[in-house]
Amino acid sequence: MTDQPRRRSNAAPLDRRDFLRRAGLLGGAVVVGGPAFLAACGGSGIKAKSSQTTGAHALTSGCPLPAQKADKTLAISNWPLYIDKKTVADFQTASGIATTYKEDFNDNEEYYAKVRPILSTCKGIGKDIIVPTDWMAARMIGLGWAAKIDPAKVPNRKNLLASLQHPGFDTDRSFTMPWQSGMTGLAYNKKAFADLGIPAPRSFKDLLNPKLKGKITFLTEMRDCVGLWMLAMGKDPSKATFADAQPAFDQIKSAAKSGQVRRFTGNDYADDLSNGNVIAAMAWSGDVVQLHQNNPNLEFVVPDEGGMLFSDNMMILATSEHVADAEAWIDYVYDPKNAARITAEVQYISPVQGVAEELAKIDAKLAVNPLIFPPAEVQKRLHIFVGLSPTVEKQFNTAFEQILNG
Amino acid sequence: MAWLVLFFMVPIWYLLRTALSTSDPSGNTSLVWRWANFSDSWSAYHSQYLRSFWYALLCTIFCIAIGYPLAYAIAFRGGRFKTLLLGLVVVPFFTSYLVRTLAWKTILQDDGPLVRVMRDLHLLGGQGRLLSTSWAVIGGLTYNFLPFMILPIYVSLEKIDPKLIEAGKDLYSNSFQSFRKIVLPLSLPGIFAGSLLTFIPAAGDFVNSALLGSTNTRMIGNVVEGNFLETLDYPSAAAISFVLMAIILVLVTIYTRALGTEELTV
Amino acid sequence: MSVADAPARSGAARWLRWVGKHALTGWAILGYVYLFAPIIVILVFSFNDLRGVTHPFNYTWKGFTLDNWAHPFKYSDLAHAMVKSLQIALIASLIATVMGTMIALAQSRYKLRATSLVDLILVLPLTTPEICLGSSLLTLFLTLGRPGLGFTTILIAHVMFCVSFVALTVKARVRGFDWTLEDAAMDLGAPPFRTFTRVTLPLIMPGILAAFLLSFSLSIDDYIITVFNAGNTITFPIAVFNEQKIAVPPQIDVLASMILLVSVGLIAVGTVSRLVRDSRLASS
Repeated sequence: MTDQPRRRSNAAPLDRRDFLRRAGLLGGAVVVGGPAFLAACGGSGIKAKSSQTTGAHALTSGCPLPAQKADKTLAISNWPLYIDKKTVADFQTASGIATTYKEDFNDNEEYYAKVRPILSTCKGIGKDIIVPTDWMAARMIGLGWAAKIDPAKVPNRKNLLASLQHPGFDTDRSFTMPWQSGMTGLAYNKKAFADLGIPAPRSFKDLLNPKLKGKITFLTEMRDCVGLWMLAMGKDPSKATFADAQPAFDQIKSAAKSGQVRRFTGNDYADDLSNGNVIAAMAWSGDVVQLHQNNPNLEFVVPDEGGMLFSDNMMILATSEHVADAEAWIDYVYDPKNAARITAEVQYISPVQGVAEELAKIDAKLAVNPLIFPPAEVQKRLHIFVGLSPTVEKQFNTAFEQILNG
Repeated sequence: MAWLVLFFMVPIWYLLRTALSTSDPSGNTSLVWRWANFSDSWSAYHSQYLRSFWYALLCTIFCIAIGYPLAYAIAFRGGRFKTLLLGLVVVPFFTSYLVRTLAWKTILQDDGPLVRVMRDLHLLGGQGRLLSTSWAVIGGLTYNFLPFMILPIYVSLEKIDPKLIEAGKDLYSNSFQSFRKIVLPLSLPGIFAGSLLTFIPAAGDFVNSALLGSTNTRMIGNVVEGNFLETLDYPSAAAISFVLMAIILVLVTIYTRALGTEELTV
Repeated sequence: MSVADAPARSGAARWLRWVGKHALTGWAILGYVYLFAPIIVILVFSFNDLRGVTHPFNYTWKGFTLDNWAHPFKYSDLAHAMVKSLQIALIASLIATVMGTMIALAQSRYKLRATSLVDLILVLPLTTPEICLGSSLLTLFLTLGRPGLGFTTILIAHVMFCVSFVALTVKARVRGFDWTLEDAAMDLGAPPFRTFTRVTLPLIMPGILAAFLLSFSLSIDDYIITVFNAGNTITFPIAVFNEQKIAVPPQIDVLASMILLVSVGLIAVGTVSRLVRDSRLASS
C-alpha cells in the first residue's frame, strides 16, 4: 500500500520528462511557419536572416537594448492565478530587487494588441518580463521584441527539463524560459451530472446532449477551442490544415448558434462553473485543480479523443532597462525549491527538473497528482497545435472570430 | 473649440482614412481608398448591426414605458419630495457603470431568486435562464440608460403650466383624455430628447453584451471593439464604426425631421 | 332609477380613478425597485465573506463579514486604478470646464458668425455613439507618430467628450444672463479681468459647478472611450472589466459603494448648506 505512491512519485518525473519532450516538438511545429512568418512580419533585416528559422538574430534587427539602469527594480506581467503568495516577496528579500508583479496578461491576442503600437516603435511598456504562450512567443521573437538571456547570469538554467531545451521557435532558449505548462480539457461538476442522471462526460461530443443546453462554455483561445474540437472530430490539430479544421468550426458554430454553448470564456469560466450557471466547461488543468479545493465536485478530464498541451514562456522585453534583474528572477524561479512552491500553489506542470522531489516534501499528495505529473497514458493523448503561417493564422482567426461574433 | 475640432472632427477624418485602408497581419495600415471595406463590413456583420438597432429600439421603448410614468409620478405626485425623488433616480448612477452591470449578474444568475420565481410562475421553462440571453442584455441596456429618459421627460412635464391641466380637466370629461390631449403633446419634446439619449448610446454599447450576453447577443460595438483591440483589423473596425456613425446620423436626421423639431439640446 | 344610478357611476369612476392613481404610484415604486436593485446588491455583497476562496467571484452569498471594508485596498491593482481614475477625472474636468465655459460665454456674449455651426459641433459628440468617438480617436493617435497611448491620450479623450457637456450646461445657465451688468461694471471703471472675476463669474458659478461635477462623474465612469485610448494605463472601469474575467473580489463592491456614499454625501451636504443659506437669506 505504502509502496505504490512512492513508486508512482518516482516514476512521475521520468514520465513527465518524456512527456515534455513532446512539448519540445512544439518547436518543430512552429518551424513550419517560422520563416514565412518572420519574412512577413519583420523588416528587411529580419527577412535576410530568417532562413536560419530560429529567430535568434531577430534582436539585431529588432529593438536595440536601452541603457540599463542600476536601480534594482523589476516589473513582471503574468497570467492571473499563476504564482503563489510568497515567491515575489521572498525574491525581493533575497535579491534586493523591488519587484512589481502584475496579473494583467489575460489573453495572448489581447495583450499583443495592447502592446503592439508601443513596442513596434521600441518604446518600453513599463514591463521587463512578460509570459506569452509558445505561439505568441514565436511571434514576438520574430518581431525582435525579446532580449537575449545571458546564460552565465542564469546558472539554474541547467534545471530546465531537457525536453524543453530546444523548441523550434527558440532553438537554444536564447530568448525564453518556460514558466509553466498545462493541459486543456474538460472540467465538469460531477454532482450536477449525477443530478441530471447522465454519466460524467468523457468527450466533448458528450456535451452536445440537449439536457446540457446553456449549461456549458467553451474557450475564446482559438487554438484550444478549435484544437479540442478537431480532436473530437477525429482530426489531429498538430498537423492541421484549414480544411481539416472545417468540421470542427462547423460543430462549434452550430453549438454556439443553437445556444447549446452558453458563452465563450477566458479564465472566467471559473465563475460560471463555481456558482452553478455552468456544469461543464472547456478548461485549463491547473485552474481546475485550484477550483477543486473550493468545490470538490469539480473534476478535470483529458477527453478520450485527446486534449491540448501548452507552455507559457518568460521573455525579457528588448525594451527592458533591467535585464540583469530580470535574469536574476528567472534564475530564482528555476531553483527547484522555489519552483516547487509555485507548483504547489498553481498546480500546473512545472518545466523545472527536481520539482517532484521538492514538492514531495511540501505536499506528498500533490507530488503524485496526475494533473501535475500526468501519467504516460494521458501524455499520449495530448497534442500541440500546429504552427501557423500568418496567412493561415488569419484564416483560422477570421473563421473563429465569425463564430464569436454570432 | 479648437480642441473639439482637433479631437473630434479630425479623428473622424482619420477614422474614414483607416476605413479605406488595408492592413497586413501585424496591423500596419496603408491607405488604398478601398471603398469595398464599407460594403464588406455590412455583408459580414449585418446581423450584428440589425441586432444592435433592434436591442436599442427595445431598450428605448422599455425606457419610455418605465420612465414616463415614473417622471409623471414625480412631476405631478411628488409634492414637496419632488427634488428628493428626482435625486433618487440619479443616485444609483453614482456607482460605477461596470459594477452596476456586474451586480445584474448576481440578480439574474441561474440559481438566483429572480430566475427561481420566474420558473415557478412558468414565465421561464424549467431549464430557462436569463443570464447570457438577449433579455439580460436588453434589461441591462434599459437599466443603464433609464435616467437619460427620465430626466428629459421630467423636465418637459415640469414645464407644463398646472393651469393648463386644470383647464383640460374642465374641457374633457375624464383625466385620461386631458392627459392625451394636453400633457402628452406637451411632453413630447422630452420623450424625443430622451429617446435620442437612450437609443444612440444603446446602439453603440458593448459592455452589457460582453458582461450579460453570449455569442448570440453580440452587438456591433462588440465587433468594433474586438476588431480594434483584439484582432487588430483596423480598417474593418474603422469601416464598421464609420458605418454605424453614419446610420445613426441618418436615423437621427429622419427622426428629427419626422417630429418637426430641430432642438436637440435639452 | 337615474337618481340611484348616479352615485354608483361616480363610485365606479372613483374606483377607476383610485386604481389609476395607485397603478401609477405602484408602477413608479416598481421603477424605483428596478433602479435600486443592483445598488442594494452592491451594498449587500460588499459584506460578502469570500475569504479563503482562491477564485473569489462575488455573485453568490456566502456569509457576512466586515473584513472587506476593513481592507478596501487589499487588491492594490484596483486601488491604484481608482487613484488613476480620480486623477484623470479631476484634471480632465478642470480643463473641460475652463474650455467649455469659454465656448459658452463666447457664444452667448458675442454673436459669433458661425454660431449654428458651433452648436452643431458641440452637439455632434453627444449624438455619436461612444464607441465611434473612442475608435476614431484611436485611429488618430495611431496615425499620428504615436505619443504612446496612455495617461495623456485618455485625458485628451475625456476632455473631448466633457467639453460638449460643459458648454451646453453653462450655456443653459447664461442664457438668461444680463450682459448689461458687465457693461455697468466696466463703465464704473472696473478693468475687464476684474469685471469677469467679480461680476460675471459669481453669477454663472452654479452652472460652472454643475458642469464640473457632471464632467467629473462622466470621466470617472467612462469605460468605452477610455479602453480604446488607454494603452497600458489602467483606470478603475478598465480594472473592473479585466478583473471580472479572472475574479470578482468583494472589494470591487466596497470601492463602488465608497464612491456612491461619498458622492451622495457631498450632494446631501451641498443641498443642506444651500437650504441653510437660502433660509438665512430669506430671514435677513
